[in-house]
Amino acid sequence: MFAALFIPDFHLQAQLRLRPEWDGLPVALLECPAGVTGKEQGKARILQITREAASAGIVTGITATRAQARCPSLLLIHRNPEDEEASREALWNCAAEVTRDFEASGPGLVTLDLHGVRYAPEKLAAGRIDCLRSLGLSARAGLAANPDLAFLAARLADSVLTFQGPIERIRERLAPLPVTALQPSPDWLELFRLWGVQTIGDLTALPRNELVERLGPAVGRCWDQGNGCAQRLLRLVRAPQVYSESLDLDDPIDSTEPLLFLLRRFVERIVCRLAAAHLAAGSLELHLGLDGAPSHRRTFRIPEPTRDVEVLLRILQTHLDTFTAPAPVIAISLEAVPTRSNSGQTQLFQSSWKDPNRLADTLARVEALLGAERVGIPVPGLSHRSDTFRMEPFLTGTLMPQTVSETVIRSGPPLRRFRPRRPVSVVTTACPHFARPDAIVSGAFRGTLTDQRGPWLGSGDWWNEADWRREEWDVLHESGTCYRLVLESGKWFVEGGYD
Amino acid sequence: MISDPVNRVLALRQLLRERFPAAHPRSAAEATPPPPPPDPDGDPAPVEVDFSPGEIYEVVAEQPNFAGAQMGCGGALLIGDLLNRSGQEGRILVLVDGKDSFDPDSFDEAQCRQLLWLRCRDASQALQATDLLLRDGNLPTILLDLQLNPLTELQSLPPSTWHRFRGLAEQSGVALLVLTPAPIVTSAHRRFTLQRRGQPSDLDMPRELLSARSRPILTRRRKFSRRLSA
Repeated sequence: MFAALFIPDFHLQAQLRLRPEWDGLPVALLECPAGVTGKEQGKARILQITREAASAGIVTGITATRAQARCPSLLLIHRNPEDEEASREALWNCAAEVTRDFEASGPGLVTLDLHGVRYAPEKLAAGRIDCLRSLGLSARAGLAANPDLAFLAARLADSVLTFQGPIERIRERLAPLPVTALQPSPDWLELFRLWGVQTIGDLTALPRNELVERLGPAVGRCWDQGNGCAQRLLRLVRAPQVYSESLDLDDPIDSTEPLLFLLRRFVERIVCRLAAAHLAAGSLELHLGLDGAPSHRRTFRIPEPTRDVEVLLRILQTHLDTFTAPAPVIAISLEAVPTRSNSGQTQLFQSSWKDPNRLADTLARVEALLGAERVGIPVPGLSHRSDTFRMEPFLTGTLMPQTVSETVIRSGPPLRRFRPRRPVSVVTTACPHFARPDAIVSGAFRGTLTDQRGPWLGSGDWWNEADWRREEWDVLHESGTCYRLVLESGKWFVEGGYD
Repeated sequence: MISDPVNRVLALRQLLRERFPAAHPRSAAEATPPPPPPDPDGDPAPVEVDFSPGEIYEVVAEQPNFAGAQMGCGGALLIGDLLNRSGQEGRILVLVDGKDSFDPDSFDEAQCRQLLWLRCRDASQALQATDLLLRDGNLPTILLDLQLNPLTELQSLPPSTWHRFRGLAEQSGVALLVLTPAPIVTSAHRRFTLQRRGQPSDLDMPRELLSARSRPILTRRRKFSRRLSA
């Protein structure tokens, strides 16, 4: 079984899908290249038109001047190779999601070999149409026993059409189709017109051998197609395996909105390619080239690898909302690191986050609010110096942490720190080896110290310039609160209170 | 007639607890020593703070202090207690630290691994961060620590903030615990008070014992009609 995916008016649809502002307008695509203006453009013929243009009386093949005379509000556009390339890639990727064996049969047409594919062909074809619809492309699908018949089925279909059953019945359905559906050369079309051959039925009514003797073997293939018995091998193509997109801008961008518009297109293309390879984005790398300033590069780890365009775009948007570029953006590049989708089953009693990607997004917002260095898991530092911890990023993997059953037994209440620590003036009593603090005489902690424990001496880093030494006291203030008092470099500080 | 099925259920629970200890973590009540008996003077007895999802609780650290820092009531001990409980249940505790006063050196590395610490500069930042986390709904327990924030700053917060938080907590099913120096959370489902007085000898006592002695006291219980989700 073969399937043909056909996008009618491909060149026009390739542009319409990226320009929602043209919805409902009469639009006509000209055959001449972009840059042709004035009289030359007026002579150019209409190649493809929208439904609105057709209802305004425009038909394909007439000149632009004539078309504008019929519909003054007609929007004339030229072919855009970039948009067509993007749509072609989307079509290829959509086909590659089903099978690696497919042929690019023409503009907006791919033929898939479904031999060995286990799923119902009708459901697959309907799924591909939905996939293309989600990308803004309206497609039809045809299913048949040979590639050319599948294409003819796609041309006839409203959505999905299957040619199955006796060949005579299929020929009956093909017979009324215009002979142009077989895509003969213009010379033959003229000849067929002179002969009075207008439909496929008229052509197949002629004897094949005599036709080939007169016009050559190529017309024999055309006759076979119309007869539903043409067999040929597919010329297979492969979808690209590059998961990055980049663009150098002619006009610098200085606001978020146009940047997000371009990034959405990038993400959609990359997601298409990932879907074709049954992969998901494990991380994204954004690179913004700035005009006259160092470029900005940022990597986003995605907790739960995904192909959801909105989720990926939200991650980028959250970052861009809080990012201020020192200069306008002149180049954009986005790369996705592909990975397998998370499909493993977790253990029965192991919990997982409700939505890891949303959690990552929320934490990114919190980091934007507080600063990345102020959000995370505190981990003890490598020094014995007080308050030397480091913050590890909170990795929102799919699973929550395991239970911790054993902890070290500690004594005394925990400390609450003042950051920064508060400098104070202290009255001391001289003892044989140290000076004992008796009262705080300045600041908010002024008062008598009724009990003192210490000193606890600490030092470190004496082998380098960060040399430190300190004397710690736990003191009971007259208010009833225990504080930690520290003597460092001859100055006293209240480091915190026990709570 | 009734006791037989009840006994069977209890026996089944016991069997499941033995077979699947990870699914039935020891509750904090089993893990820590029992609280001391009620005060003979008739004061309310300390209780185990049990947080139901989707509700908002306030723990008031009441110890007037001339320095403006309400310390010594056991607020940090409560944080340690909650960290222990999170460790036993395999959950993450979010600490929104309103004055950046948490000291990781006072806790074990294993305890800190259960903690997502948000170091805020003031109450305004802490409230914004809490708002984001409540809307997210992935993290089951959030501890908003405003104990060291100036009371004037907290009293200037509009009461609608707390009502919004209650609505968000109900929607997302997150338990929010607010640690404050005075009663300010008007929409709290329950209010507890920490009334411990620090002693010099505390520094030598095992922390578990200190935690058991400084359990909060339930001082207010309000009944709210739960919003029906659309």
